[in-house]
Amino acid sequence: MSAQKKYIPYVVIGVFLVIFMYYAWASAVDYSQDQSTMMQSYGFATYWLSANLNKDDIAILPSADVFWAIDPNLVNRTESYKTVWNSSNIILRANTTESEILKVREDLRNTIHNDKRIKYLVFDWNDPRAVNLFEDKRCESLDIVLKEVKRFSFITPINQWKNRIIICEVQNKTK
Amino acid sequence: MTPIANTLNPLSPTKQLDLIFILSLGYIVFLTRSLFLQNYGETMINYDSYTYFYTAVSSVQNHNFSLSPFILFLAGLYNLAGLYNLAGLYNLSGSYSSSDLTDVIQFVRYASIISSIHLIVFFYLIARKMFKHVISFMGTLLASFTTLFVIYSVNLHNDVFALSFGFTALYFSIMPRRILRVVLSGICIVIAGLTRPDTYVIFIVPFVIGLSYYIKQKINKNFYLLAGILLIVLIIIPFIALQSYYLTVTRFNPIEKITLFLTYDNIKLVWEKSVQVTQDDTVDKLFLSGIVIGMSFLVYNIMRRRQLLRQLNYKFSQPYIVAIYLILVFFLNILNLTTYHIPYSIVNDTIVMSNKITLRYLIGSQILLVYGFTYALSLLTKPSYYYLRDKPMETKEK
Repeated sequence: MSAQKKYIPYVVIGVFLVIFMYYAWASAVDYSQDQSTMMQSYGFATYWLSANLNKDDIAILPSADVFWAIDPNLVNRTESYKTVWNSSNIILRANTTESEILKVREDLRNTIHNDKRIKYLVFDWNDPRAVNLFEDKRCESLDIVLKEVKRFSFITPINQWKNRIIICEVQNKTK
Repeated sequence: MTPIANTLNPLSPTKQLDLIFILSLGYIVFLTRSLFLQNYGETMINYDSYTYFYTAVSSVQNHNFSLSPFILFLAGLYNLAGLYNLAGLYNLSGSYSSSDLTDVIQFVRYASIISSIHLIVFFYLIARKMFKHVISFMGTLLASFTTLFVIYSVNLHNDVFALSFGFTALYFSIMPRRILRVVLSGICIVIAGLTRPDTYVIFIVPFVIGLSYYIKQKINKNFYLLAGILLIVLIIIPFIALQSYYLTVTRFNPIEKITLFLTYDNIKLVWEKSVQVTQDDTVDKLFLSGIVIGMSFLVYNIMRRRQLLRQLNYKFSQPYIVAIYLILVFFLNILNLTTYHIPYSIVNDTIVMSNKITLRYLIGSQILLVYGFTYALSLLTKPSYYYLRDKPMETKEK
């Protein structure tokens, strides 16, 4: 085999490699930009809570680890929805029934009314423990004392997927 | 070469070339990941990544010891960020504020690229057992650019970390003759397993074969008997030990899950997602065609030589051992993904599969598929008559 012919396969492989790397990189960029946009909303929500949550206030968070990783100072002033479900002795499973969800919802309502420290309830689109409690994705759907005070909406740049994180404030609290 | 020259140049030309390729790959991986992180990956994209980071920070601050090697790894990197800060190499305030912590996360994400380099180095070393330098290098380069691998190299998730140790365990399990290789393989499989239990299940078979091979060399007992006993012991012990873990995450025990979830639809889903290495259909089809052609030739080659049964004995060559290891690992990985990673719900006592899979689970299968594709690439560099006639290329040329 002549020297030139010997190198032709390597050139073919090299060309394929360049094409592959280009498209793989472009896919990675697109995917990352979409997902980053989603996760940035947690950053904005965390900073808002850090600024607005007083020392003795408590907020209930979905996907709490994300908030805590961004600002560990929130750990002492927040609870996760997992705690809420645990306090109702219900584990979220593939076959959790509507009546079980209703029980958790009722328990949470009572907690909001009885615990004067609870100031904010936050819900996202991801944490099923939160999503299941807010039926039509509105603060009032859980309890009339809740009112939306802040919304962090986004549209992903590539897939044009829309969603939001909503912060509900507990109204008419006398401390 | 004179003795003095030997002392000055201890590596053979082959190993020198390997070293050059490994260093190049390491540099390319670091450069591409850094560029990606800097330009497109400012925010971590996975929920679990934040959980891992927060757990690592908590374990450092509260002096808790975590059993997960990945958490220990992150905790080490977190401490490293502190050291850099003390040395003035990194600008943080005394106690980390929220904005400082964002900087720490970025630092840890840069430092965690080391896991990807680790994985790519062992990918290359395994490829070298089957292919020549340039083909191994090109195959590894291709693996390093697979979309999900690029993305998860800079997000603090344990998949790449576990896979890097899984591949290391596999590499040291290739016909080990020294106890050091067996020990290293054992350590790596434990680290991989403690990080992600499913990685243990996937890479345990090559480890058992390697260990059985080593013991067989030493005490001359039946290889299959040894492999059978070791496999039973090393699978049953974790199976019993992990019962409590399983009960906390799912209602089904592992055996029950296999019978319920190993369906044609689930296998098809996992396969289709695994071969989607980019968002471009043409490139994906080229990739898939390469794998199919490569595998067809591999089967043809094995059948033509009629050595399959003999290859299954322990006297066969390293390239065949590696090929068998990789095929086993690939199928175990598909089994694992199909059985344990398809989301489901239960409606009226019926299991409803969601027909989707979290993409990051596919990093392993995509990287493993690159070996199949690399085999197809290696065929291109040999004239076709080499496969059609039972003569080595050099003989024909003479």
